Amino acid sequence: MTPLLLVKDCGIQFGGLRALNHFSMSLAVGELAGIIGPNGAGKTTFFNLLTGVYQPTEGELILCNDEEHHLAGLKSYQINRIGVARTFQNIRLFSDLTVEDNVLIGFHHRLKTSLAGTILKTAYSRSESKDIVRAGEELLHIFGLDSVRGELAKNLSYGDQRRLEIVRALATKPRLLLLDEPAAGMNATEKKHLIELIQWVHQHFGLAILLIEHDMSVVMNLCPRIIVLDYGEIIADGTPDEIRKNPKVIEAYLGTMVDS
Amino acid sequence: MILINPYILQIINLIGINAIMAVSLNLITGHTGQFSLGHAGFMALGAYASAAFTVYLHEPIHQLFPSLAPVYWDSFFFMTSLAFGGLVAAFAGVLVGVPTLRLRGDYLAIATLGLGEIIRVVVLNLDFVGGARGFTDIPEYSNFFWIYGLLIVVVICMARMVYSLKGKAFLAVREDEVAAQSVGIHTTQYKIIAFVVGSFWAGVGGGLFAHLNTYLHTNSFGFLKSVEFVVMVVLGGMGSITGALSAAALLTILPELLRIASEWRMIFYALLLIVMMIVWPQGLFGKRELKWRFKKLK
Amino acid sequence: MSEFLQQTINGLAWGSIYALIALGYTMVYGVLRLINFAHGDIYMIGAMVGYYVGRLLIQGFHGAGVLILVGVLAVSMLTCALLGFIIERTAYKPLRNAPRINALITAIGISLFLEYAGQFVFGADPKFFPSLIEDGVLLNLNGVIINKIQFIIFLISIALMIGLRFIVMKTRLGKAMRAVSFSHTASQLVGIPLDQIISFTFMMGSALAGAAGVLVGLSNPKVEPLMGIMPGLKAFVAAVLGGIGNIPGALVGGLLMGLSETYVVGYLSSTYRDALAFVLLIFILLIKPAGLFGKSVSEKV
Repeated sequence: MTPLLLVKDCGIQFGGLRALNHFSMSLAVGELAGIIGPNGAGKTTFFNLLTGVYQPTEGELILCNDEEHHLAGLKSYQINRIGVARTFQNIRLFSDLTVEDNVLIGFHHRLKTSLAGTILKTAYSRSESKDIVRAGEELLHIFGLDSVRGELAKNLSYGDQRRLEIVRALATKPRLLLLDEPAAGMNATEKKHLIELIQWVHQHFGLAILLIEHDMSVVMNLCPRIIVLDYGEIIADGTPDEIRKNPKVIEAYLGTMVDS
Repeated sequence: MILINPYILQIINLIGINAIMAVSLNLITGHTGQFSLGHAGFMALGAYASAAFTVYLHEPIHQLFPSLAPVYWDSFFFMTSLAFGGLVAAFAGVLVGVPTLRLRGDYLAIATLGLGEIIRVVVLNLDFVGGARGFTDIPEYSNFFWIYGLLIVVVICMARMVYSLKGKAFLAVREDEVAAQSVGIHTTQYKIIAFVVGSFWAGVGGGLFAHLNTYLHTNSFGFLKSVEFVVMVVLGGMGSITGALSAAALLTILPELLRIASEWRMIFYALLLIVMMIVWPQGLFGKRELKWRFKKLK
Repeated sequence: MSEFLQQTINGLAWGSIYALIALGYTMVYGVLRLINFAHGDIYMIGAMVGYYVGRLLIQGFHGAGVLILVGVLAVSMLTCALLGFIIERTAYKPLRNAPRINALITAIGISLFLEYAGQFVFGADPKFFPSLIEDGVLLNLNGVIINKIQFIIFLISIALMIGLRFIVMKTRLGKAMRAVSFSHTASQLVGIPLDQIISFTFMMGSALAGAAGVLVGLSNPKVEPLMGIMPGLKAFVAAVLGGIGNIPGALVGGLLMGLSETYVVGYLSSTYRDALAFVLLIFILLIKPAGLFGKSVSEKV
C-alpha cells in the first residue's frame, strides 16, 4: 500500500539554524497521527514545509493521491489544490467576512466557472453557484455553525472560530488535514468536544490527519500514533504507550509528561 | 431635449467620471486590499491613448468604413477609442502589477506612486500628444449618456465580480493572504486581475474625461489626483461600491458648493484624511453596500 | 579628473543633506514600521523657520556669522523636534495598531497639510534664505574647489551623525531605541517606556531633517513651502537603498543618492535629475527591496 505522505530525509536550514534535520516519516491513507515535542522542536516548521510556506533545503516530500506529487518547489495554493489543507497556530480566519463566506471561500478552487463567466452571469455560473452554496450550507449544518452563518468571523467565540477554521479547511476537500495546536487556549470541556470533533471528522471524511499539540491528554486520547520531535529531529514514533515509556521522550520533556 | 444649465451638467458629468475612477480604484484597494497611489497614471494613459486614437486615427478608419451612417459611425468610433484607452491602461497595469504585486503594503504604495509619476513624466515628453503644451482640440464625444451608461456597466461588472462566489477570492486576498493561499487561491493572480481590471476602467474613465474636457495636460494627472481618488475610496468605505459612488459625488460637488479656492480644498482634503483615519476609518459605508441594489445585481 | 573630483565634492555635499533626511525616515521606520510621508515637509519647516529666525537674528545682532548660524540651527532643530512630537502623538499614536494602510494615508494627509497650510501661512512665493555665512573658496586643490559653505555642510552633518551614532550605540536611550525597533512587545516586557522612546526617536529624526533644511538654505537660498517634496522623496529612496530601518544604510544611501544625482546632471542631462530617484526606487524595490544593508523580514506563519 503506497503511503499517502512520504517524507524522505528532509532538512531545512535558516542561516545557521537547522530547523529540521534528516526528517523521514510516512503516513498511510486515512491515518491519524499526533506530533509533539518541546517548543522550538520544529513542529510548525514541518507543517510550513508541507504546505509550501517554506522550501526544504534538502530531501523530498511526496504526496500520493491519484498521482505522485513532489511538494518541494510548489507554492502553498498549489499544494492545497493537490489535497493538503491546514489550520494555523494563531487562527487565520477571514475576520471581516461572514462565517458562511469563510466556508464558501474554501470551495473556491473547485469552481470551474471562469471570471468572464461570472461577470456575464452565464447559466453555468449560476447553477454552479447554487450547488456550491448548498454544499456550504450542508457543511455548516453538520458542524453546527449554521445558526451563526451570517455573523462576522471575528465575532465568534474562540472555540467556534477554531471550529470554523477546520470547516474551511475541510471545504477544500483535502486528503491530508494538518491541525496546528487546535486545542490551544481551550478549557477542559471544549477540549473534550474538540477530540470528539476530530474523531468524527476522521471517520466521516476518511482523511489522514496530522495533529500538532502540546496538550498531552488530547494527544494521548486521540491519536493511535504519536511522533515526537526534538531539535528538528524525530526522536520517537509509535503508539501512546510506547511513547509514554520512551526514555528519550521523557528526557526531552523532563517530566512534563502527564498520565491522562 | 430638456435644457439643463450647462454648468450643472458639467458637474454631473464630472461626478460620473470620478465615480468610474473611484469604483475602479475600489476594486484594487478596497476589495483586494492592494494600496495603489498611481491610479491617476492609468487614467492619464487612457486619456492620452484614447485622445490620440480619436485625433490621429479618425481619417484612416473613416476611409475603411465609408459606408456606415454617421450616427452609427460616431458611436462605434468613440467606443473603440475608449476601449483602446482602457486596453493601453490595462496593459500598463500588467506591466506594473506583475513585478510590484509581490511587494508588501507600504512598499507597493510607494512603487505605484513612483510608477504613476514616471508615466506622467514620460507622457509629458511625448510631443505627438502635446508634450508640455498639452493636447488640444480633442473632439467632444463624451456626454451624459456615454458617461453614465458606462458607469452602470462598470458598477455591474464590479458587483458581479466581487460579490460572486469566485470573486470572494479578492476579499480573501485582502483579509489574509496566507490563509487565502492555504485554501488554494492563487493570490498573485487575483491581485493582478484586480489591478488590470481596475486599470482598464481607469483608462476608460480617462478617455471619457479627455473627450469631455477636450484638452489634456499632464498636470491634472499627478500624485495629487491619485490622492483625490484614494480619498474618495477611503471616505466611501474601502470595499463598498455604494460608498465609492457616494464619496465621488460628494467630493466632486463639495468644492463647487463651497466655492473653495483650490489651496483650501487641499488643506480640507488633508485634514479629512487625517481625521477620518483616526476617528472614522471605515468611512461612510464601511464594507457594506446598499442591500437592495446589490441583491438585484448578484 | 579634476572635473570628476569636483562633481564628487558637490555630490557629497548634497549626499550629506540627503543622508540627514534619510536618517529620519529610517529611524521612524525602524521603530514604527511606518513610512513617514510627512518627513520631507518637516525638512521644509526647518528651512522656513531658519529663514525667519535667521532674518531676526541678523537684524537683532547687526551681522552674520557662525554664532548666528548655530542659533538658527538650534531653533530650527528644536522646532522640528517639537513638530515631530506633536505629529506623532496626535496622528500616528492612535493608529499604532490599525492596518498599515490607515497610517500611510494619515501620513499622506499630514504631508499635504504641512504643504498647503505652509503655502497659506508662509505664502506660496519663494523666499530667500538670509546669508548667514559669507561664502567663498575654502580650499582649492588643483582646480577642485571646496566652498566654505560646503565645508560647513560637511562639518555639521558629520557632527550630527557622530552625535546620533553615539546616542544610538553608547547610551541606554539608544539601546532602548534599538530594542523597540526589534520588537514592541519584548521591549515593553523589559520595562522600556514604549511611547516615550517612539516619541524621542521621532523628535531626533525630525531635528535632523530640520538641520538639513537650514543647511540647504545656506547653499540653495530659495525656500518655499513645496520644497520638501522632491528632496523628501529622494531621501526616502536613499533610505530604501541603504536598507530601511538601518542607520548606517541611510548614511550610505544618502551619499550614493547625492553622488549619482550629481553625476547624472553633470554627465548626462539635468532633465533626468528628478526621474533618477523614481527609476532607482523601482529598481531597488524590484531587485532587492531590503536594500544594501537591510534584511528582508518575512511574516511568521
